Amino acid sequence: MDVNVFLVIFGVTAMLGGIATVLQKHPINAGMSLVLTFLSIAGMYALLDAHFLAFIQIIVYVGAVMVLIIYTIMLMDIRDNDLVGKFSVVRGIGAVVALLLLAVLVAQIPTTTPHMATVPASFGTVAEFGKQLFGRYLIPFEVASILLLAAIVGALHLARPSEGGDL
Amino acid sequence: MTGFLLTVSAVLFACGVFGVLVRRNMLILLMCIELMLNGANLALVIFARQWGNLEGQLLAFFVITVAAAEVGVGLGIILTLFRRRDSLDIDRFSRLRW
Repeated sequence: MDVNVFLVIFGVTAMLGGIATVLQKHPINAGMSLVLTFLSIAGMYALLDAHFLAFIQIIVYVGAVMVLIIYTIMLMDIRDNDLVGKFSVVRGIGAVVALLLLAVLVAQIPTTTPHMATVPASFGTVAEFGKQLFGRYLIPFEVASILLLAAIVGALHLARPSEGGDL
Repeated sequence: MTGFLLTVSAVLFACGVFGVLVRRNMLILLMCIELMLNGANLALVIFARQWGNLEGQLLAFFVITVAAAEVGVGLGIILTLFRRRDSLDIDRFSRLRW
């Protein structure tokens, strides 16, 4: 079952990328690790019969969100003000809280999982997604487009120069 | 198989939480928030596949949409804050404290 092997590989790569993102000193390295994580998650989506979501993950998350973040990192003057190696009590408490959260989440995972449901061949394809998005979930779809419009207007307003300008 | 995949989702989420609590750079904070969202999305897609229900993937689709909008506005906020104080360190922006 080579589907399982690739799922394990992508899972391990996603975990390594996630751990690397929070431990890197320079934001660019963290951004590249996050790109690796997103690509691994897209691979996992494709193997879990979520083909449309895998495309959307790559186009939106890797292609738009990460590109924006990396452009912002390049435009800003990055100084050496975020040393990860400096240990302090607050960071220790943060690490303990995160580990506790991980323990609680992993404890909830059932050890005996039921069989994976047999899904039709059209599960998670673009056609099936389209039928749901334009059928039962039409209103959330339209509301999401209004949300994107609000986000565009908000981001434009925030990025305008403060003093001077035409308006 | 589901157990391992759900562990991956939990590890991603816990890494995001750790990053938000420990890191001080605002851009890395934003990246850790996206990491948390992706961990949750992965759990949604896993359960959608396990039970053969497409609604998990639909919810993940809307989460991706909202997260993209949030990153756009969040970067605008970070830019504005950087112009104000010329620093990306969130410990510098503590005027609203008691």
